[in-house]
Amino acid sequence: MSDKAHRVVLPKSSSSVSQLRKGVIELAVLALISKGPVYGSKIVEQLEHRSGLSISVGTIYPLLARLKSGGLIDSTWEESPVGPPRKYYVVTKSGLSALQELEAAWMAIRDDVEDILGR
Amino acid sequence: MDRFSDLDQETCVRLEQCLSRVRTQLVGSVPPDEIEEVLDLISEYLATRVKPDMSAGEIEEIVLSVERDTATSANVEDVLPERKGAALETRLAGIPIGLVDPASTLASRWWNPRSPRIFVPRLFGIGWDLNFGAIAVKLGLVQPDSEDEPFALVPQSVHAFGSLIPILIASANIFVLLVFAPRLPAAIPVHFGPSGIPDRWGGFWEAFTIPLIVTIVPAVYAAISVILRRSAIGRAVSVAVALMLGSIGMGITLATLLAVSPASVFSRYALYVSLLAALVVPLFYLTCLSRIGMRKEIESARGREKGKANV
Repeated sequence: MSDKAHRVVLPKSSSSVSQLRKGVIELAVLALISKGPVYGSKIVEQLEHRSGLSISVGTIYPLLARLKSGGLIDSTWEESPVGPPRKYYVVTKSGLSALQELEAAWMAIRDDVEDILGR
Repeated sequence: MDRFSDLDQETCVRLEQCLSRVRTQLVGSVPPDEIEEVLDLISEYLATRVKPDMSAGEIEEIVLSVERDTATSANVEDVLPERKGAALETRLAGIPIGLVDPASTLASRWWNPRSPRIFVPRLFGIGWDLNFGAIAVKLGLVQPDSEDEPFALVPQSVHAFGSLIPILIASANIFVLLVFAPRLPAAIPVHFGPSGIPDRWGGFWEAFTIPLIVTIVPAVYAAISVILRRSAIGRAVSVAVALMLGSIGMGITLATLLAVSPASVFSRYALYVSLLAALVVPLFYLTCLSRIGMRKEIESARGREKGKANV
């Protein structure tokens, strides 16, 4: 599908679409971090080409701060081969159980909605 | 509506009406993608404040206060009193004093590197606050998440040192006026046109009251913030604002003195330089603090890792 088609399907300005994305993005980001230590702009990069999930830096950093203050993720500092040291994020134990919970909820929602949509 | 599930029909209708009014007030003053978020917070707030056993009058009071606050401020921090400021405790001569620090939410608008928006609508008054954090990120001076909490790990000695700079600027301002006041002519420029050329003349106090106030008052305020150990961001930003206003005040003083001197051609450059300094100096100061905070964060992370390794 072309970019244009995506934009028609997902108008980002629409409030109901943004409502829908909000919770899912938290799940997606938590899942990405659980795959291994990753830094903020890398997460944006990894989500960039996914038009359903692509988020801006203005969204990711407040979200990371929220996840960290909620104890779902933690951070470590690593030297970077280019530029200053980077803050890498890792999922904590309670983050993992939150992830499993979110994942289960997501599966159930997805199945139900697809069923109703008649896919 | 299920978000107000334990309330009666009539109250729900009133609350929904309030929310839709708030929505129309927010349009234009809050970025479109943040409106839903703000409305969520407000409905959450209403849901916790409004209790099923409240009288219609009490409910009306809450609803009206929310509507009024959104109309005048359009800021989440303002609409939701519970979220306003950070409570902090300080000790004076060993006696704890509880203080609410409304300056800390105000301050975070001047340094919020996690947000890419440089201009933030004013909390009060017209215009915007400058988010120096976003500028520093754009210039590659800091990363949006360099610090978990801005300036939280910056030592008090650094804040104390920083708060001396605006005091020095204010002292310098007073000093040059003391030196030059006896030699000034009766008519001094009191206003400069857009090109930096004086277009109105007056007496000593008319010329120097404003520059003296904008250098002294913010410098004293910043020093008090540091002495009282307000929130880290409150201390940092009060110094940054004092540096900004101090640069402007000092610039006006110098431009005025130059305008009545043989070197009057340089008068306007004093204004230009001070306006530039008003942006660069606070940016530099906040960036330095943030980088110190980041260093401390890295150090403490290393310390923790070492501690773990030893176990």
